[in-house]
Amino acid sequence: VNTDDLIEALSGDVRRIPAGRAAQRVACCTLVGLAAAAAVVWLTLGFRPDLTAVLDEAGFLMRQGYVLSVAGFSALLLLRLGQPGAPLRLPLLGLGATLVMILIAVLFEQSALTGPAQAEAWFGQSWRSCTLNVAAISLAASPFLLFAARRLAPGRPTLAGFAAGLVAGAVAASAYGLYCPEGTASFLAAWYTLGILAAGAIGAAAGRYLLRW
Amino acid sequence: VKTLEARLKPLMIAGLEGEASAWREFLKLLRPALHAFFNRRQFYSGADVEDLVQDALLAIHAKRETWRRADLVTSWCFTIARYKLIDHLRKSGRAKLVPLVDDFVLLNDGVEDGAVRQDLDKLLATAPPRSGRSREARRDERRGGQGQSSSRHEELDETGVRP
Repeated sequence: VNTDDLIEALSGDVRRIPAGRAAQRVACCTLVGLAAAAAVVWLTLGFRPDLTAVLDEAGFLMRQGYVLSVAGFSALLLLRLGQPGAPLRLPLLGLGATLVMILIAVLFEQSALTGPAQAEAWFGQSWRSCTLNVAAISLAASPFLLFAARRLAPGRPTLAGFAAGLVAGAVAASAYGLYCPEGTASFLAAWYTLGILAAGAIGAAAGRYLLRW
Repeated sequence: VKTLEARLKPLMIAGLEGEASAWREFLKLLRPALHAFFNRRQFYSGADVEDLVQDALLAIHAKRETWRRADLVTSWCFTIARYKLIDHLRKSGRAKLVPLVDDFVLLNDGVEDGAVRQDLDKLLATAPPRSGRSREARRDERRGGQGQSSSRHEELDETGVRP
């Protein structure tokens, strides 16, 4: 193809692109991923029976606050990684601050407990299944996030896949939180975080191949 | 003379508004700059530079919604061009020859003037005036004068003129 002809063809194909369309798509796909993950939890595990009663409990709110904050900042990280030349400072600071907050909560919780109660806070009743469930549920959300990422222009596909996986893992954790009976900060910081990171690793492996453009 | 950045930015904004003529102008302005960019970075691969230019133009067209108004148009464009170059080198099995640190952005010849020149000007403005003088002293030295004599001449100690 002649380059002049290519330029003619491309400039014949311009439609108005509203500012912020990329951000809207990432936000929209994150919400759809959350809905898909919640649907999977509802259909397979079922929501916890006392869900309406715990909606205002500190443990429940802390968990949703933590995983939704991770989801939001990871989504922003995904967006920025897909916008060539965009700064990553804000999402990285947000993720760092979220981690610091949960670590402080763990320190407070553990310092107030003694003996076997400490281990009880770490492992709860369901630590064996939590990480695996979060990672598995994330597979329901990750296609939407990878779709959003494919429309972006990530210079580092593996890293962008990791960010997409983190978003999928965090919304999966939020959905799993509607079933999970645990309420301690230590359990949340250990097993939920591990599940989100596992989802990130899956996303990184997928992104390496799927997010090239 | 307006920089490439100053000329491209209004055209980019108009192009995003859906103005075909502005977008045509944008791509035409970018074409020689991309050509120079790829030409300078062939790494002896003998790649068809025109193919790379077309690849980059297509990607820039397809991905234009990923440009943020807060960012420089030139750095957005050349980040995409660099991605396309690395992609090409990887496909042809020469990715290992891409330097890990992209130091060639400093070999600025006016193509990426927006981003690189702004940064350089900012940095040079913060350099103490002494280093500016010692640069002249070094030039004297290269012209045949002795390092010592030029340092005396510039009232700097010997260490001040060492490169």
